[in-house]
Amino acid sequence: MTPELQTWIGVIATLGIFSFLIKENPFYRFFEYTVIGLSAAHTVVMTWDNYTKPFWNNGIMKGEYYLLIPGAIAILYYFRYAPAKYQWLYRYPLALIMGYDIGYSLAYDPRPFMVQIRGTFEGLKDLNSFIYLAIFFGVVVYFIFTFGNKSKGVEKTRNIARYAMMMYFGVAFGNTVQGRFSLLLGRLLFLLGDWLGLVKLG
Amino acid sequence: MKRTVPVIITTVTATIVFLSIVLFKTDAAGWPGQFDRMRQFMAAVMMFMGMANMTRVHGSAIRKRDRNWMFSVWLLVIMFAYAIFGMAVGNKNATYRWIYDAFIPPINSTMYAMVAFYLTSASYKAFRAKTLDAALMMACAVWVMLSNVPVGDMLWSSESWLGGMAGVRDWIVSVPNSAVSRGIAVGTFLGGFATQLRVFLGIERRHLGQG
Repeated sequence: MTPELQTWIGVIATLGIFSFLIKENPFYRFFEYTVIGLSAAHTVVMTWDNYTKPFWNNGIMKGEYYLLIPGAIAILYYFRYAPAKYQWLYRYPLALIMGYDIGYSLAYDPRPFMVQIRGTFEGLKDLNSFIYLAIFFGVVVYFIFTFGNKSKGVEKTRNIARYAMMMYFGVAFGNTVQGRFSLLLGRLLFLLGDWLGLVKLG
Repeated sequence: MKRTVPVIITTVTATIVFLSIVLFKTDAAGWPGQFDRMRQFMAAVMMFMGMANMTRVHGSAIRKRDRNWMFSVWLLVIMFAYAIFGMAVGNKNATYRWIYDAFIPPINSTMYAMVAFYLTSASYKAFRAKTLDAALMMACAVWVMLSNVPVGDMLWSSESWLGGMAGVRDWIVSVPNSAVSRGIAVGTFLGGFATQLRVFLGIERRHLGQG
């Protein structure tokens, strides 16, 4: 299979997806379903290669038989799609994983946030650091007192935080627009350069 | 048995994992490392869940002869064929990579690129400065976009007062934007922490579903 064929597939797929801009059509649908199917399969293959196989070959086959117990419990998760009578069995592996994640999170998660809060109060030396602190404080108040507080002080703090958050969303929006246009230019360069050879970069 | 036992399992497991991390060494050979391996292996065994769900949803569409049922057939065929092939030869196989490179990156990047057209029409609706909030959002978005392109530097050079458009953009990003980002992160953490405590104490049970 040659790189040219790969380019042609890329071109047809790109044009197929762009055809959605005119209206929804079978050409677009075909490539949409193709990428969903391939991506799901790719996720499985990557997990198989990076986790399941190494665990089996380097773990269980080398004497770590205790892994068979969580493995057997994990199989119960597939009862999610069993007849209604047996569906509740899927809760056991889910409960175990939730328990693990909560225990892990309770142990590890608070520290990075405490460090961030401490960092906000450290080095208060210029106007910018005080503006930073005021906005940070306002946003935290905004989230903590989302409902049920009618105090004027809280209301004013929330308003200032809202203005700052709108600035944040504006910046995020601007960056997103530019990121997407950059991708669009990339696709156009692919069509005009790699395929048609009309544009040469560098 | 159906609901209470899973709640107890969650609480007991969370307590054991928490104590193991706090009390024992967190290297791979210690208890936390062993628990981590078990958790990873469980996730690895559950990896077919996504495919099982896709098969269920699209199998149902095929049975009912839905509008796009023929595409559902194609999706299932290509998904199973690619997965079986990939598991047999490995993800580093040349043919496997060739198929991946031919389809997935071009389609994915085109999908995301296409959003640019919809963002443009969305901008037209969003950028009507009727309130101070909307005006601030619009001003910041326009400022960031202009300052990232050469036109911005032509309008207000980065070598002039305040560092020009790029200088003001850097201030917006590093002071108010960064403070909001940190505030949102702390707010999210507090919300997540509260939810975790609710699940830990068995108050929150919605993840276990009905029945």
